[in-house]
Amino acid sequence: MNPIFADFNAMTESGQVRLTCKGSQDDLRAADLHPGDWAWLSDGELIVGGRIDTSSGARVVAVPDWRTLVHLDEPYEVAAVGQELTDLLKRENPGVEELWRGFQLLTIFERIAPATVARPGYFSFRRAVILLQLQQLELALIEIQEARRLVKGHPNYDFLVLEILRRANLPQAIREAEELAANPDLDAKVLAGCIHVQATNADHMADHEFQAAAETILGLVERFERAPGRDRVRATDLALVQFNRGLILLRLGQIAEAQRSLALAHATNPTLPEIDEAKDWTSYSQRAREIAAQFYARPIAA
Amino acid sequence: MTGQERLPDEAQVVRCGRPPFDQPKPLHERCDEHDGVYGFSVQSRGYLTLEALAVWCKNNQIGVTTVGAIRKRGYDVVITKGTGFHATVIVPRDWTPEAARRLAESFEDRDNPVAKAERHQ
Repeated sequence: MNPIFADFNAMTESGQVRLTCKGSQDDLRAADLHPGDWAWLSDGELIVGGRIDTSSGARVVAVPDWRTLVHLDEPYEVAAVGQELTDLLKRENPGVEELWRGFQLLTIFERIAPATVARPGYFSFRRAVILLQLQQLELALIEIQEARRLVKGHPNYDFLVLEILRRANLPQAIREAEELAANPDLDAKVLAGCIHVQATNADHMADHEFQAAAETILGLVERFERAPGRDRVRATDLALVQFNRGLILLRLGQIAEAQRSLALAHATNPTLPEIDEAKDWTSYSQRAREIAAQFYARPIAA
Repeated sequence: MTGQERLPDEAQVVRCGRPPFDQPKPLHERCDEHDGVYGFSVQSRGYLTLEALAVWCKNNQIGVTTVGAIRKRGYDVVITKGTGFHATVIVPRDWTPEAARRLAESFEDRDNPVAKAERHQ
């Protein structure tokens, strides 16, 4: 986390933090942040995410999202925090309260644990995963970009940035996917993310635009099968590719091949909610469109 | 200047955070213009308890002094717009780091007496 300085004493009557003191202005300039951007704000004792804005008096302020507040200065014990965090991260389908707690613990543990406890970018990556689950997309994006700054070309980090952008800003996700896919040696997991971004975009297209997009996506699917790291791809990511391929082929009218791909997706990951019904589709019906829209609207596991 | 009521010397002054308020930025870099005066933000009013002022701090630690103690050092405190009982300790625009440190060190370091869950957002 690279916060900008904020003096939480200097709050406006409407609860905005003024960012006009020298300490804040220096940090804003250094980070090239402007109204509309999100950032972490800290006075060294507290840290909170917030959106930079302009007050009614045309002064730079931040609107904190206090749900993301973490107290950094409490007498935390490394072992206790580490154990609670480990237990939380192992939990399947954590609730919202557990996710917020996980976010806090990651932030605290990163500060108090020895630097060697995790690989570079790990804490930012895990925070990004949790913030995505909490629908805090702008802050999730800050964190995953920080992880990517620390470790360039990490497949998990690149995959996650695509997924966050897919939900936060689809045009930017498409640009990112195109840039990443320009690398002929791109990892299979990242290609799976590129496919999902492009397929999400294609789902909104009219039929006359769809044909060209479908060819691009099917080309990426072919690349995926031969890409480095293909043998390490998790079942959930593989099913994602197969399901996207199935939907594209279904809409192209290649029913038999679509059914084969959808059945493969079902066999690969039977837990995907839309998959059970999809394997029996024989046309790109209204029902198929609805299920596809539902599929593209929800986040995928990072 | 805002020209409002004068704060009594005995009024408590609370600044959120741990004195001398120099991490990660020194106090002289935390100053700004508020309602036409230049200085740093605090919570202060006459005849209010420490809890009534500290409830506006989310920090676990607070710095505490009085208006009189600040005036004795040649500064003043005036009510300015902001959340809670916002006031500004007026300092020169060319305030030196050394002078800032001396004033910051005059604040007493205390635990925030208000429970975390009861502090205002």
